[in-house]
Amino acid sequence: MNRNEQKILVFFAGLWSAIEVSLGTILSLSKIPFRGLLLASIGCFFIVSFRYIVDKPRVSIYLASIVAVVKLIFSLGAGGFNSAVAIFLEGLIAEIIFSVLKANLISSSLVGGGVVLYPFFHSLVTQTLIFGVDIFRIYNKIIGEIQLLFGKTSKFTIFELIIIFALIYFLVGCVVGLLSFYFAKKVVKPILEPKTDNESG
Amino acid sequence: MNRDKLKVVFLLSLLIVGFILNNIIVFLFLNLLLLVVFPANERQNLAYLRKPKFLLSITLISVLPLLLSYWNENNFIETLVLVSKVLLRALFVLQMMSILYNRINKDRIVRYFDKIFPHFQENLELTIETMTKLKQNLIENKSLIFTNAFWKKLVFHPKATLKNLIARAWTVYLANRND
Repeated sequence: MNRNEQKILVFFAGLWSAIEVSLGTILSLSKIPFRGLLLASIGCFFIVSFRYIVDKPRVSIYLASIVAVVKLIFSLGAGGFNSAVAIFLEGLIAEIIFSVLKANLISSSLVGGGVVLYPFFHSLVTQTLIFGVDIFRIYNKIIGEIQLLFGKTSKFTIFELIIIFALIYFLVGCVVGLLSFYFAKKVVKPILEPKTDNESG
Repeated sequence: MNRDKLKVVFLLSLLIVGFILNNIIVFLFLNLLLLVVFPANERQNLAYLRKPKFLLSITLISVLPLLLSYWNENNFIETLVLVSKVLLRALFVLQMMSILYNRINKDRIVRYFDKIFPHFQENLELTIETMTKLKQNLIENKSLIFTNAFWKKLVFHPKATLKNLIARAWTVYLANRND
């Protein structure tokens, strides 16, 4: 990685970290639903944009590792550790997809799908780990009882709902990935590139 | 019901009650063990029970199913046992996770990444510096960002707004670099 690429890496890492540490902490504490989707979408934008500008192996995981460590340092408690692991794994997912398909429209869309879907699975795994498999029986009960209360007979079980939600997350992620690629090409690269060209020349 | 059938029903009931009690006792025992195994100074900072976020989720998890079950007057005891088991497990796992989290050595993680990625520590320090400056700039210009006009522009003209934001952040970043 040359000096200009390092400069862009620090810029992206700094901006992403600033959002994660400020907005991420507020969202995390407020327990707003779909906060993972929003933060993963922002992360996806930075990962795709950075990979589009600096298309070199391991750069996505490098960027995510820096942000994950910053999150680990500036967060309090086990919640911060949880988020740091999520950021690192999002970078890993992106790295795997970009390594196989290179940085293009299709891979960016798949990266979006993978990165945005990840927080959903992360929360499923965390809840299973913390509360045990019994938590799904409780959710199933809640869904069943709510259906009974409102006289509905859709009979959706928790596992069917998980699959539906996962599909929605993936599709939203694909759109986020496409938009990230578009903005990286039309907005981010023209701003960052002239400076890098001048300095490298 | 004849005597033999009654015996079988009695035995099965005892088995179920025993299984439930066993689960609860095991989790209670594990929580007690946790208090004994780890020293007080390690336990002091983590008491998950004091965290509002944890209290809120635990209230939702425990109250909602019981309320709904009571509403429909079925399976109340079963739900009560289920929720108790889940909460005891959560208490144990979260305390355990907090203790382990407190033992994480951040410097060791940075040193490990430094071996994998070139100039990791240097870039990490620069990132923290950049992040602080960008956050400072955001605080100074918060009157520009937290307006309806800004959010309207972001929704109706996302490309132009994003371009403006990235260009601004890039300028702030370059202005604060020493090279």
